[in-house]
Amino acid sequence: MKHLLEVVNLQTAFQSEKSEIIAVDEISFTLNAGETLGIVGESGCGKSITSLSIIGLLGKKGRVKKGNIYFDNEDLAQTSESDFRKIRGNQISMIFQEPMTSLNPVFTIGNQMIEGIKLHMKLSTKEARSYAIEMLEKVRIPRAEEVMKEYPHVLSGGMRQRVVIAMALACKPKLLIADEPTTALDVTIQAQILELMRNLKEESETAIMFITHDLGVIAEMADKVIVMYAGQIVEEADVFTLFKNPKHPYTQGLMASIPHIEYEEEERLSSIPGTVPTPQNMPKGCRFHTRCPYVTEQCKQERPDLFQINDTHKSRCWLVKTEKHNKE
Amino acid sequence: MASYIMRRLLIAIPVLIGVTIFNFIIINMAPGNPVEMFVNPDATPAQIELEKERMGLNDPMVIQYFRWMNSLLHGDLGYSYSTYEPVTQVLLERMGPTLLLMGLALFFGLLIAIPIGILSATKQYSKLDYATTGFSFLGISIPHFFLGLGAIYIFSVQLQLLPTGGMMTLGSGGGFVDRVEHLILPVFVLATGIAGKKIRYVRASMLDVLGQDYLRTARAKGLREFVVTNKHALKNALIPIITVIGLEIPLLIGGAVITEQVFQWPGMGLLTIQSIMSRDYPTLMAINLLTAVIVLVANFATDILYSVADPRIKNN
Amino acid sequence: MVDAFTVENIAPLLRVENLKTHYSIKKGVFSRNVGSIKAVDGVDFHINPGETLGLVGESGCGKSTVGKTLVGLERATAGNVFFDNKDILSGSGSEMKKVRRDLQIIFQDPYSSLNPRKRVKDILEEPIRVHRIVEPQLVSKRVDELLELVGLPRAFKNRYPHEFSGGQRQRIGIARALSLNPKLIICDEPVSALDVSIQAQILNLLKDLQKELNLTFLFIAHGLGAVKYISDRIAVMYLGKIVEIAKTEEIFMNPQHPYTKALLSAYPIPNPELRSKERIIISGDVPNPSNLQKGCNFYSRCPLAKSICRDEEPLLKGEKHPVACFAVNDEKKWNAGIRL
Repeated sequence: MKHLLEVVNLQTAFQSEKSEIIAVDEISFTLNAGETLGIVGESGCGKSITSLSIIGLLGKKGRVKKGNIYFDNEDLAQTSESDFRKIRGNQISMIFQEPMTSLNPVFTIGNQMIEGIKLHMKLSTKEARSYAIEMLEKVRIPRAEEVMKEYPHVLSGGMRQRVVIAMALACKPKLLIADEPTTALDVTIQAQILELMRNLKEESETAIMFITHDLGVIAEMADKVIVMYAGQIVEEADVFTLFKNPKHPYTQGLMASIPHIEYEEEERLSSIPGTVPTPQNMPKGCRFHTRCPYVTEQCKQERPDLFQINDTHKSRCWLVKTEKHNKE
Repeated sequence: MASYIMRRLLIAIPVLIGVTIFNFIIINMAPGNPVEMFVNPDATPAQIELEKERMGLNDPMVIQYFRWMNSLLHGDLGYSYSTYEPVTQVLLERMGPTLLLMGLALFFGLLIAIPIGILSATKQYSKLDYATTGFSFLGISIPHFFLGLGAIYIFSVQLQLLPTGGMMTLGSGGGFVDRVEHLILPVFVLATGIAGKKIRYVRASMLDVLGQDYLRTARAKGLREFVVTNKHALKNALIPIITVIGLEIPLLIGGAVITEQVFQWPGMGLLTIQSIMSRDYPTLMAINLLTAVIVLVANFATDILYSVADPRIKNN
Repeated sequence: MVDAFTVENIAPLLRVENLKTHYSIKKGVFSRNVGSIKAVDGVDFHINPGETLGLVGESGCGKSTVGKTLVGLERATAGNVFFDNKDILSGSGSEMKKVRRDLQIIFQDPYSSLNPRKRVKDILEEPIRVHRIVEPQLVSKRVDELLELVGLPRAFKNRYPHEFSGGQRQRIGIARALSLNPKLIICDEPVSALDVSIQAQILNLLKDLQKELNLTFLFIAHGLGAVKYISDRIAVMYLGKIVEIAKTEEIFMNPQHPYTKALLSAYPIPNPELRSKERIIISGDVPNPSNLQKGCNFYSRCPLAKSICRDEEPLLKGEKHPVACFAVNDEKKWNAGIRL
């Protein structure tokens, strides 16, 4: 089967005042229709940059420097801006983190809903309006018709995020990128939104890239997961394997450092010592070696590849390589 | 809303009374007196004293103030000391030319400032941005009298293309073309200053908005950059600019003292200078009162407009 | 950690009785009070020495206002707060100065509470000098001790706040709170802004400090995981009121209030095997706190609501595990519990 999205060796760079900074590097993964890919990592790991590269919204200072982004047989890294606009909001759409600021405060919900619908679906204003109401009802917004006339500030955070979701799904995209869509919401509201997204997913063949720092949300939503650290993918696996048998020391550290509410735990949380390196002083060798409990001389000198453990599991760690070697 | 308007009106009354008292004191403290300005230079001190007595200028200041206030409440602003015309009539005569001049200047100033400010913000740190910033600094820092005199020298004296001043050629009856020709230079001078200031506001306000999350949402919909900038960003950026424009409204009526003087434009600015020179107390008091009223009204109108433009305000 | 049962006979360090903090809404020509936002509306709890009480709830429930009122950053509308047996809401100036020293607060974003133009050294020295904690010549030694205590190298004292990462800044915030040798520290969302791996570092640090210095904590947070990890007892707040308060295991294993159950059920568990488990998802949003109806505040969203809930306000009742709910005993089977 042909993949819906295939990212090959993506490298994205940002122009800073003095030099160019490589924000993400060696990013490769695939995503099929109907699948949900979770991307997890801490702030600054490059998970948002990866998604902005795919939807082509890096801004003036950022650019895809290397690699390919094949979407529906088209390389988005090579697509012109005017062709990209036909894809953006239509075949690929995106939901952002802050529902409080991601809607324009001075236009009504209706105005902002209709805009994209008219653009991509070529409907008349009247048709677009009734379709927008239909979409709002689909994301279970009460009084959808009245909400169309309201401004974003009168809605709660949860309701605004529903509007954003309705907007993103209006043109029936093949790929939906959700960048921390529930991080700013309260737990009970988060549960509502996650359930909504699960239901909508079942109804369509839309593939989802779900970006979050919350392993709990990943466990609930994703089919397969990519763990990112310092601008690279460090581990990739299906969700069950990843949680049962994490291979990369960073993934292990991340899992061990979350307090669990579902069982009693030991007196102390384990934590990852130190802090994430900045792009300006990325360590030589493995990028995680400065914080890794299993560090060896090799890790300090040589950069590990994303080694294949089995068909669905990859880890960027020398230990995996050695382990595999020993077995053979 | 109704209670808000009521509150604003109630606050305005003591402010206006305060302004009149303050002005009355300042004007009366200034050296010299009107009689010396208009009587025959050969008049004896006794004659002058008699005239002062007749005009009530020797009464205590408090009495003079209440006399003025009393007639004001009866709708009478008194007579000009220098032209003997009713002050109301003098003001009405001068207001028209000023409104015309300042209105055009504000219109052209904004017509230049808004698009250039937007362009400068969207192309931040480009050559165009630097050029715009440079022009805006010049617009702010060149004094109006200098720019005005320079313009007169080049366009009127050297090139002889445009008239040096006034509202129309004397004795010509003032045809449309003639009036327009008289307007070009003063409007140019004033609009340059206004544009210089406003470009900076528009640019800063736009830059503020350009970093907002909702523009990323708009781009993610696949909208063209033109729509993103001129629909989604502009409406947000204009909200703070409303306040800045509102602050200019009093000038529309108050006039530009220096520019009107340079171009001998028969407006409120020129009237102000003339009244000060001739110690024309009634006219001066009326100008000050009018200015105060307009400042209050303009601020009020700005607030209302603000709440119209920004839907978030209405709820509070 | 002190077992809450063994200390029941010890006098509590902090006792809060019927605490209310209301903000008035002004309107009209003469700024009449037209209503009030009842941010904190009648809260009772106590904290024993050496104990950690967790205060959880969603945004707008008033949990942060409780903390701010206790340290005097907000004015209490009514109620009593006894700290070390002294009423601190009506205490005199000199008494208050002593109390302020013993009662410190750590904020969510330490960056905005650290003066950007001061070095770490100055930030830490100032309160020590003002309150004359040690002899002037020992101040700088004390700063070194504090930095060591929170796990920062001494050399950092000459740096400015912006040179630190979020986790390190939070350590400085903690060091500042510790500089006055407080008895009770109010931790207001101290780890919410931090990355997962850094959260664990700070939570461990707080636990270590508690043991070492015999500190008492009021730990305010919305992240259930962190609260569970650090607290001995937990109070759950909803719209200005405590709806349930019990020992940590009790809250998680045997939640009583429907809101607590929903809150626990909504929390995403980092285990994909558990995702198919039934969960309770309560509908709707938190009502506007300036426009509350009589009766139970949770009425509009509660799956167990009955007529009495609409008319009367439930009080926090019970000895070991107080709950404010009329429907608590109605449906024992209705149990979101946690998915074990």
